Amino acid sequence: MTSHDLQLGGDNQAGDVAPRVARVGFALGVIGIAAAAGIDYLTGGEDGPTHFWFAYLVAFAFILTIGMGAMFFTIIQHLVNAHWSVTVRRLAEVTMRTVPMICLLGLPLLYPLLSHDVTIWQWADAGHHEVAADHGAGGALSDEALAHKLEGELHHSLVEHKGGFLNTNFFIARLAGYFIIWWLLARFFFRKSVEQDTAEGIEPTLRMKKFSAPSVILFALTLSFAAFDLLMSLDETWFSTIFGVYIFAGAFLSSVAWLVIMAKYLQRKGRMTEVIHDEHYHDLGKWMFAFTFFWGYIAFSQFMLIWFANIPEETHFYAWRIVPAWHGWSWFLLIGHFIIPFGGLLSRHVKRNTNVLLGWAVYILCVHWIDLYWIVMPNFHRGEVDFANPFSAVEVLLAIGMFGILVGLVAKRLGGQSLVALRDPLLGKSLGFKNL
Amino acid sequence: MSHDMSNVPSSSEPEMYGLMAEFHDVNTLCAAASKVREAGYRHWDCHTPFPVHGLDDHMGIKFTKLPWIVLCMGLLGLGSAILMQWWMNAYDYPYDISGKPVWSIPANVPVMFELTVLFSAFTAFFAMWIMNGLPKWYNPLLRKERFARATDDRFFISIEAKDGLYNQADTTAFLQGLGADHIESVEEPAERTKLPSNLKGKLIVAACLLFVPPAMVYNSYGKTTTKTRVHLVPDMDMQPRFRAQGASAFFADGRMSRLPVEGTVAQGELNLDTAWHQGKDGADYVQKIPSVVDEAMLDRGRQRFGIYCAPCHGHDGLGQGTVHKRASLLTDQGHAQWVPPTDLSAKRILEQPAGMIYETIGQGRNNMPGYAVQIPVKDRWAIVAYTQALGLAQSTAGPSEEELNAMTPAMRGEILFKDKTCNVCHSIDGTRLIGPPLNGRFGTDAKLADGTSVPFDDAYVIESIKDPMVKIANEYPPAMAPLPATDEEIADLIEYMKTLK
Repeated sequence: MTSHDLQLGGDNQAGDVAPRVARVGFALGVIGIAAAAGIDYLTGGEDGPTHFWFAYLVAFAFILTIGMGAMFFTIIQHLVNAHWSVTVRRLAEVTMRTVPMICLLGLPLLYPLLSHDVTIWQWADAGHHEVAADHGAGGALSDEALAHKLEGELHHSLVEHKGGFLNTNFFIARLAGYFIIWWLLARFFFRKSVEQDTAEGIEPTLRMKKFSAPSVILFALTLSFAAFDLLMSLDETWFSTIFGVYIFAGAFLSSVAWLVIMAKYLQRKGRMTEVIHDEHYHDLGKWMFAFTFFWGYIAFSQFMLIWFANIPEETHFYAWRIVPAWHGWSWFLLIGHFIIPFGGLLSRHVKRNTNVLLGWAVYILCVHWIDLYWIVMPNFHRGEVDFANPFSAVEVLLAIGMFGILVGLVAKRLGGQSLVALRDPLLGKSLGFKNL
Repeated sequence: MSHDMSNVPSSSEPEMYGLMAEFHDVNTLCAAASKVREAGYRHWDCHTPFPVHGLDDHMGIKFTKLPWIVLCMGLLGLGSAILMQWWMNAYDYPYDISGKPVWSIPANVPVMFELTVLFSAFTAFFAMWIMNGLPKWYNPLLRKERFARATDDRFFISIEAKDGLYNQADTTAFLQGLGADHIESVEEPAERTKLPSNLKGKLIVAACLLFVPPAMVYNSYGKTTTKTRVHLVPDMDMQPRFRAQGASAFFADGRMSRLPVEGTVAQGELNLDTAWHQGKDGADYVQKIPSVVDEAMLDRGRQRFGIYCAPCHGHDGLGQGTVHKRASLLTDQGHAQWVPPTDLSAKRILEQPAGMIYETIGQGRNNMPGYAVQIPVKDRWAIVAYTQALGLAQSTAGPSEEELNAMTPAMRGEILFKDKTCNVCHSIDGTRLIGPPLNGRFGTDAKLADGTSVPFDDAYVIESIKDPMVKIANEYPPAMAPLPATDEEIADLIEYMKTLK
């Protein structure tokens, strides 16, 4: 029952497309990141470096979530024995395989973590213990001063309370742990899948199936905690247990959008033309639709509980994001990240019209970046009311640069092997797959 | 069904249902379906053991309208949820929940989501049934033995006799030309199995009976009755047992309830230490906390204070807690009446014996309810310790004895007016608070709630302070508690009132 060497038809090797795209991607990456650093460090004034590193974290999280979403895509297909997705799975595997390299791009973040000149994780800054220490030196306090003092004390005790978890050494150790686990997962699922391309039996596939269940547990734990560490801890007193799920929703959504873009690009270049057809796009579209809603569901769940309980140590997350400079962005997320794509992707005809679907995929990548920007950047101003939104060319340059690097890494990986998971036992079913 | 087949009653002239053609593979079936469609037949169908991709196109079945129906009903569910919650929470019965606006979308979203899903799911399910002509109890095809293979490995096309193009001979020839393996005519059974007799009548009676319980509920809605309830299970409703206040023939004293054996104390009931348990030594309050006050106790007190006291008295004890703020807001809008919590740094609280504060926490005072149920004795003393420390920390040093003696009575009265927290309820600038403003009142007439008037003089003020419930000011709630004050202090207050214009 093996599907040895199905007649696939069409060109299923990346060939000369890969190196060309890789060159363009890496060039964009170097130029974008260098230009952004130049602007912030040379003209950004006192806050320039801090701003740069915040923006760097946004861009890093952007491509990391795409890669991690692809990892989940790969693992879950093995776990549930899915057959529709076999023809597009190699594209996800290639994206997943770039995660270890993306993690290397995270190493520069050790600079703002350890340096005293630039601070983006406030808890890591040794000076934070002096907060509010100067207040309350004898005499009666005005209401405002008292409130400030109490707030300072609360902040201090919360940060101290979390100190056992949020300290620099443990933080670095955890990040190293996540990166190693991701590297092992990516390597295992990629190698086995490529091994299957030339294998006589289906041993590699069976091994991937066997390890998919524990892998998905590892994935869920590491991604959640990485989200807590890298993003949630930017606001050291805030906590939301659903935050990891929120980041996961955005990650998977954006990676499916990325798969659509990849598939469409390769098909326009004459690759995989006989392999991926409307039925596969239709299913990718369903994932995009489902996770648009899932993202909204999780985002609202997080919001509603905090809104209803109305406890100061939780509400300030949203309080920081409804100051005038962020008000519009918050509304945009609700409308642009949820309502518009929900309506847009609802119809079956949209999901089956691959050009329209491509448009939505690009749109979703953009709003996913805005989502991360909205999560990270308000920590730069920390609830101040009177300031202009920090949005500038730096963020855009960094986003383009990092995305270019992702494109470059993926393109480089594409070159090595077939674009289709050959000899996968379910490939035949996938080729003949039809939606009812 | 199978046992029915042998029992089909034979009939001389069976009515034709139509023709059934059997095919052995999908491709022939699809090609045949295209031909049948092209020939113009309208009342026909295909029967396959599994969903055949593309068969809809061959049969000319248009893509289903179901998604549009589901979309519309989903939006209807969404709209219903919004309307329902607006009507319930904001219009018909506005109710303050956690201080949120009565009409707030975030709180309504879960129900909006659920109703959208409910309407969509029910619509998808039932609309699909209706559009597929379900439920269908019976089809003559099911009586054909060969048709059983439609659920296994054969494919069928059936053309019904009621179709305009149908002609027994021509249609048979037509189907044969399409590559059918076998063609069979299908007859309507001459006699169908009878429904149980008078089924309709029974169903109507059953349906009518369904209305009886709601009718009974409607009938008794909002009514009272003098009849005792019906006891369906008297053994459970009226169990034989000893009742606390009942009589007993068994015990010599004729009482059911027994006293503890003399000289015994029930576990946890030993509270002979009145200083510790009641805050009193004989009839007097204990002046100091009857325990060692250490840092751990103060810390415990701070924590308990934050939980039980701070909502009203505020974390700083100044009486500005969130409940007070919210209640003041509602009072301003005319929704409620509210007596503000006491400022715990006020002089009269600082001067209170520890036992009295302890009693206040346990039993309540004036408008404050007692917390004896929520707060154990030891924690109440911890709160007393913390309250005293907090009051001391918040208060500023008042004038000394000599300074007070050197002042005019009106000046002392002004200080007392704040120390005795009169200012919480009575303004001196004409603003309406809980009680009437006191500026420019002395010497005028005071209107009372019963419609009469009395002169606003020394006697009236003294009475109002010592026994405030005797004469209630017109248009103000009877909210004032007797104020502990000496006659000299009251005299000073009166002098102060005289100066207010």
